[in-house]
Amino acid sequence: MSILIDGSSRVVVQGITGREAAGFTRECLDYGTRVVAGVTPGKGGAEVYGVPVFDAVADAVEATGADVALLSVPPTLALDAMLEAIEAGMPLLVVITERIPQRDVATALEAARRAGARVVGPNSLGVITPGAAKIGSIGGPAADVARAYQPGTIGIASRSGGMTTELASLLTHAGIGQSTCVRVGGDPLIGTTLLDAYRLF
Amino acid sequence: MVSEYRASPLLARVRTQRCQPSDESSLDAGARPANYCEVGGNPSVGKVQAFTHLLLEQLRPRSLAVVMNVVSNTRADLVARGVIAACLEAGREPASTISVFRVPGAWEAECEEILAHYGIAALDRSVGIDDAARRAVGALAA
Repeated sequence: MSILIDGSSRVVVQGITGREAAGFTRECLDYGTRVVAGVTPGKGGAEVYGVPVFDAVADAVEATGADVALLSVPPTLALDAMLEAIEAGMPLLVVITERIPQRDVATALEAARRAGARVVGPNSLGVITPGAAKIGSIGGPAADVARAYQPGTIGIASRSGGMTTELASLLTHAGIGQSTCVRVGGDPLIGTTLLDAYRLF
Repeated sequence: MVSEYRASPLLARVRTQRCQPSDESSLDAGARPANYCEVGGNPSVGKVQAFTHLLLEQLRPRSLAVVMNVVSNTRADLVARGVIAACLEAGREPASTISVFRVPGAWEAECEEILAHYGIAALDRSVGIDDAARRAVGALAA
C-alpha cells in the first residue's frame, strides 16, 4: 500500500526558484508528479518550467488546491517557511533543506504537531510512490528513476538517500517492486522517524 | 572533508553517505580504506576536484576506487568530471589512476560517456558495492 503521496497529490514547492529546487521540480514534472505551484517571496507571477510562482503559500493553496508542501529553502529561512506552510493548513510537509538550526527544527515540529500536520525531514531526499509520483530529488532525473524504482508491494524507509535508491535498485533488479519509498532524513530531529514510517505502511 | 587516513594507504576512495557500506566492503575484500570523505549531497565539480586533488597529493595512492551507492541528488557525471580533472591537475593519467568507478544513478549515461572518453569503463548497478571493492583490491594486486 502506498503512503504519503500518490498520483493525485498536488505539490507546492517552497523555494522553487532556487538552483536545486528548480532542478528537482523539472525531474518531478517529468516523472508525472502534479507540481501545481511554487512559492518564492517577491517572485510572485514568475514561472518555473510552466509552474506558477506565488509570493505566499496561502495564495498558492487558494489558487491551486495544493496539499503537499515540498520545502527547499536556505537553512536560516526554513523555520519561517515551515510555519507558513503549517499556518496555510498543509497536511504534509516534506523538508529537503539540510543544516537547519536544531532549535528552529524543534519549534517547527512542535507547531506541526499542534496543527496535526505531518513533517517528513528535514534533510530528506524526498518520497516516491513508483509509477505514480515522486517529490524531491529522490532517484534523480525521470529516466534514472525508472531504472531504480518500479511499482510493487515492498515499502522502504531509510535515513540515507543514497541507500534508499541503492536498496530500491537491488529490489527492482530482483524483480520486486516498491509501494512507497521514504527518505526520512538523517538529522537528529525529524518529523517522521523510521518507526513512524513503518507504522504508516 | 578528508577526516583521517592511515600511513600506508591501500585504498583511497570517495563516497557520499555517513553510513559506510563501502568501508565495510573494502574491509571484507581484504583491504584497509585509506580515508573517508563526506562529500555531501549534490557536490559541484570544483568540490570533487579539490578533495580528490588533496587525496592524490597528500596520500599519493597508487589508485583511486570511486565507489558510491546509486545516487539521486548527486550527479554521477559531475563526480566523474571532478575526479578526472583532479587526476589531470596532479599530472596523473586518469585511466591508470582510477581502478574502479562505480557511481550508478542520476546522470549515469553522461557519466559513462565522459569516462569512456578517458578510456575508463564505468561499472553499472549490476556490479554491487562489495564486488566493486573486490575489483579495486584486485587491481592493487595486479
